[in-house]
Amino acid sequence: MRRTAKSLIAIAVLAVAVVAVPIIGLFVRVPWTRMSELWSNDTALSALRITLQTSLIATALCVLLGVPLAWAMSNASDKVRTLARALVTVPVVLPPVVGGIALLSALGRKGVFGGFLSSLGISLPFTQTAVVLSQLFVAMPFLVLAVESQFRTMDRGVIDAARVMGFGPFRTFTHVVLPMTKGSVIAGAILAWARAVGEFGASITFAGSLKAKTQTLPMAVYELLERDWELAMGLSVVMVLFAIAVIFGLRSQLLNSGNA
Amino acid sequence: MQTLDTPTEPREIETHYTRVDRVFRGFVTSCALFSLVVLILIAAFLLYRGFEIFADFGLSFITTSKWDIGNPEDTSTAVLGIGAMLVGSVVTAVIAILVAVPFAIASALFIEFYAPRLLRTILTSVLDLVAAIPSVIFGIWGYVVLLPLVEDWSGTLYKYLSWFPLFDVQTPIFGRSPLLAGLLLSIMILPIVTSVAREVYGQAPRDLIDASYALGGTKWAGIRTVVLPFGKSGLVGGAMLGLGRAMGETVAVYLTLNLVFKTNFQILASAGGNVASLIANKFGEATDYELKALMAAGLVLFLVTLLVNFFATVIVNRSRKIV
Amino acid sequence: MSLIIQGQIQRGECAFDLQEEFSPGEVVAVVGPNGSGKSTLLSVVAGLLGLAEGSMSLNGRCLDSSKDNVYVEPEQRDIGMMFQSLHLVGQMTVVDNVALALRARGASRSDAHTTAREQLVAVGASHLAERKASALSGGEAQRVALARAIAARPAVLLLDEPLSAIDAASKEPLRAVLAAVLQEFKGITLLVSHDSADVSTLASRSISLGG
Repeated sequence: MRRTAKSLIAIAVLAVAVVAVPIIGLFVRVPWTRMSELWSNDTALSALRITLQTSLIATALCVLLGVPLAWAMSNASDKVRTLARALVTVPVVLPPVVGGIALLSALGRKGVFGGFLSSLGISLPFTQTAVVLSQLFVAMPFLVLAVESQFRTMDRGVIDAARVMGFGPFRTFTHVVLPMTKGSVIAGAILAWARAVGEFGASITFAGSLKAKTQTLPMAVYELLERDWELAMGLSVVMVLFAIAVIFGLRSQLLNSGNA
Repeated sequence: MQTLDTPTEPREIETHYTRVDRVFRGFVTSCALFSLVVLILIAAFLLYRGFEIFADFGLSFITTSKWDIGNPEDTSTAVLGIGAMLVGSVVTAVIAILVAVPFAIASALFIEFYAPRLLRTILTSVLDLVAAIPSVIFGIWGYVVLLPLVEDWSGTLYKYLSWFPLFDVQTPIFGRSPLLAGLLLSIMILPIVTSVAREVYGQAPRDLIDASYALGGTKWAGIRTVVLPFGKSGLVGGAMLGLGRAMGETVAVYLTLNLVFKTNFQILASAGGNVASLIANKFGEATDYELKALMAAGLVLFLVTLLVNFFATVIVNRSRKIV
Repeated sequence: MSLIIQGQIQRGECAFDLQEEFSPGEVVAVVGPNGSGKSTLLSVVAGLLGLAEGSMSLNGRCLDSSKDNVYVEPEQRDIGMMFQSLHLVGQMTVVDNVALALRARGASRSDAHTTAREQLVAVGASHLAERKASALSGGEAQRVALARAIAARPAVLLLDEPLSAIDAASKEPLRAVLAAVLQEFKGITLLVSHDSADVSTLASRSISLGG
């Protein structure tokens, strides 16, 4: 019996090693001496700028649309909420590349809404707006699901208490509910941001990989891989470091709000 | 208290909110409706666009394995079928699940029942980190680091096990094979499967485990007799969630699996592909008609992952209700 | 100038008629067995639940009337309530919790904090002001909840089992605090309690439900 427990530990440690190896492997293979080239490389720099720009806008939109959605869901009847949750989960289970194709089929030049949009002089595909929409599509469920469950598990009686104190529904939300759930809203936003930064499948189909226009970091890494894989590795390390920062941010955020 | 014979229905109460509350209400409702309507529309458009292809090809679109546009001017000359890609999706995802599940079980049990606090924090952080790393990074790692290793292993497997059809190949070139893609996917889905397993095992009745411990059994005996049977269906659900994730993966498979339109069950052979990577691959220079076909392929993948996830959710929920 | 309830109150299986007038300065104990609708009565007064039938007015203003289809939202009634499960905001400090009630009635941030601190002194909890509400013991939390309910000097104060769920040792001092606070309070108090000792020491009269 003892031996079984020990082998369990061995497998678990191996599992973590398996997972950690790619990260370590990357750091080992990276041409550190060439890292400085990244800062003078047009592709890398513009991709970095575009990624930051689009992912931050997408995250802001996620919060702006997702938090009210989560609030509405948490207040809805069970039936409506189940339906809404199923719909919100669609982008999570939907392969991103299919999501991108779907966005294109709806909003593309020949898409169902595209004709209407282009009659207004708006063309979405292959623009930064398309990148933002793709990221929003892929990232929003993570925020909505995290925040909605927090809205549901918080002490709902406080809402009644706030109303009796004299807060209307709006001020109840801003003065009481949001301060109570701030931790998970921020955590959800960080999670959504990480998704937005790493988004590849939906953007490549809906926004394309146009250098200095719609090419974000993951697309740049992908493109560099064919031309200069050492630099691609360097850029990958930048993204892994970002992911590490995100996880640390999440941890401390959750610890602060006492949910960890 | 007089208990009334006929309790009246609760009366309709009209609410009179101030203006700011009415605006807030309107804003929340419209945000919710907007997001939900967009999602419904997206699914609807995919259906609508994809159907033309199904009208032209019928079921042969998912059973045949050919991607030939023919004369771009004349769509009737095109022959399109994603059979090989579907097989590739399933083969790589199944390899991923077979490899990932044992590791996920061990990690989940270890984190829940054995690991000291600090180690637990480190382990969960590492798993979270893997979940936060963009898949293109995994693709690159698979291509640069894992590829040569798997080529080696494949050679050994072929040398000793080629009598087994799964490990046979026509020409011993191993490169970007389903095995490589499957192994890479297994790492990528490990966090999700582990976290579902942890959640399920965490709900196992602690008093029963403690009871078996108190009766002089080892901790492992408690886990084996209580936790593992308890978490079985939940784990199946978690595995299916991982399966869905693995089937939808695009760029990592694109980089580690040779796109060849041939139904391939030989996991060491350098040929295959999956539906998602097909879409990413063909999308760039697609003609209008081909684009519709890619949307139809997307629809098929959508339906398959939806089905897998539906069953996964049902199973996970059922295992939750037992608690 | 009083709270007048003439109507039927109903939640689930529990339904009863009530004809009652409450005057300022009164502390009215609401007694009765479990499930007789004591908390439901408080919810109706607070506006968390409508009257099934009939009407209710406070100081001549109609709050709820099934006939005239009037229903005033809880935030537009002048009421303070201490819930049985308190419902403090655990993520905020004690003084912020009490200040919420004043902010809700339009006080500025600094005024609200000043008044909140005074109120905390009155309930003997001033030393807890900067503590997170989630870090309070049962008795401490009850003092803070009382302070929050009364801070804005509402016309009606609703106390739902204000002395329950604490150990006997801390119950006596808390009852003394409550008595002192109610002595000062000029409005109407409705007090739900199981404990006959509470009723006899705190209340000026009592109404009985389900009897």
